[in-house]
Amino acid sequence: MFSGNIALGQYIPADSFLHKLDPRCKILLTIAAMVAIFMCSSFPALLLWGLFLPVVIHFSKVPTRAVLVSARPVLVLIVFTACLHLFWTDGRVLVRLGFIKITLEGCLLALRMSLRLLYLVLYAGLLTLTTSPSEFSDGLESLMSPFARFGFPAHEIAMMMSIALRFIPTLFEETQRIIKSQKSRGADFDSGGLYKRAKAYIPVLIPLFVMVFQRADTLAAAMEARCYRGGRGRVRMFPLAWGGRENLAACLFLAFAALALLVERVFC
Amino acid sequence: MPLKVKDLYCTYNIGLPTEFEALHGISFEVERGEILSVVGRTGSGKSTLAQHLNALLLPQKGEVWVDDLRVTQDKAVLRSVRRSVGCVFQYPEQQIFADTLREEVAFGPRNWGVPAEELQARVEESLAAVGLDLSLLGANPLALSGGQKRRVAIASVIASRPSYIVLDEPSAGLDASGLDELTEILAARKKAGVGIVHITHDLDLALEISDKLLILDEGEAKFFGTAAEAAEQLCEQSFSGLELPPVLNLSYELRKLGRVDKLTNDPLVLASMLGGAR
Repeated sequence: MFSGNIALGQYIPADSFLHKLDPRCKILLTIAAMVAIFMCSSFPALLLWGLFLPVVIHFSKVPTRAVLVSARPVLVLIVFTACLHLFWTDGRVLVRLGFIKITLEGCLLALRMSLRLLYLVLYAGLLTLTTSPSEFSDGLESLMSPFARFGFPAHEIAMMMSIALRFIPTLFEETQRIIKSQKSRGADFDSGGLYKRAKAYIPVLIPLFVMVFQRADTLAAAMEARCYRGGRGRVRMFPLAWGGRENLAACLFLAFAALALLVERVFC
Repeated sequence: MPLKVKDLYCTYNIGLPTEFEALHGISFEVERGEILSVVGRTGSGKSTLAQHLNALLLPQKGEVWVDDLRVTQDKAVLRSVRRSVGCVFQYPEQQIFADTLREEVAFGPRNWGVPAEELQARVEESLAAVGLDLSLLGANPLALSGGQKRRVAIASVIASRPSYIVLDEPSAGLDASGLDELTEILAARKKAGVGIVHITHDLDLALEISDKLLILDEGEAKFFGTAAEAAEQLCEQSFSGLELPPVLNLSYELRKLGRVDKLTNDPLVLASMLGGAR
């Protein structure tokens, strides 16, 4: 949360094929990509997914650096998972240092899991980088709308997600501002042990919580003042449309996913 | 030994489509006991500049000197610079976190290692400097009025006894009496020998209280000089986003007609000049 750069929820506007795609199409294809990536365990199939990534980035017109930065928040998780697999997998021992042993199977498994997680985050990152929060929530609402007839609050959930996504950059900016403000009064967030560092964030968290509640109150009042009464009877200014572009994207993606699964089948 | 900025550049989001240059070759200096106002419209780079003065942002290109210390990445230098240059951010009341006013104001000095026995004196001195009653020492700062909170935030910076204070839009959201109190606080700090960098888009206030003015537009310094020179320049040349204060504008028009012989932004001075003419 307090890292120097955060890409989660950060939309980069551009005039690209991916930006123009219907958000429902992008959400469904991202979910399909995640499932397909987890179905692949052989290195040739994972390599194919890796080669497919620059192609998708090319069609998104988003700078490669921005896509790579989107994986930074989960880098620790990826390294942690890799370490778990590296040191706790049985098999042919390559290195032994006391009670620590590294096996060939452990290395391969660590690499495989790291690649899967990395692809997962990068493909998901591309979704948020090319889809604005409002498009994203519209897409989700539309995808969840069939469940509304069973009493599922599709619109409300989409609205909550949209507000949460919308406020991520704002809260991040506010956090940075409060951190700078306290730093200028001599607060030290970078030295000392874990306890000292956690304690140093109290002067950041208290003003942040106060501000979040104030903002929530203001937002609720502003929504009520504009007669917001939930999803019933609401119309869209820009209705979502699934057309030729979406069909083309879906066909191309499915063809690639089928190829990756075929390679997986051959090499597995 | 001034606070000096030499040929400072700053670019945000380098390599991204959102890349933009916030500062382009800025140079100026401010002495202790002087007020420098940095004026410019929203997005002109004022806040970015403020953060460089306090070493919250480090120069990508160019230099920032606080007295004889050049701002670098070195931790000891950063700490020394932040101690010498206090920073009051926009809406500083949003940084308040402590249970009592005493704790809030003591936060800065305590971080700088001021001994416990001196803390109380510093807290009382700072509250007096911003005109807050000492009976409020035990009060919850979050329960105070907006104007009082702003004064608490300024007191919490004064308590560290910085050589320079940077104030980023301190007048934002203040009513007329709040503005008067702020002007008094700044004048008192100036008298106490503190160098002040006052970031604002309120040209009227800037001309009223400043010794020097720096006019920023799209990250570039369009003017740097004394307040009198700035008044002259502002009348001769329009700067985007800056509206000439009505009294200054009137005195300029009257001078063109030969009714007064010098420019002023003070209505009383203008009235007396006109009275003299009559």
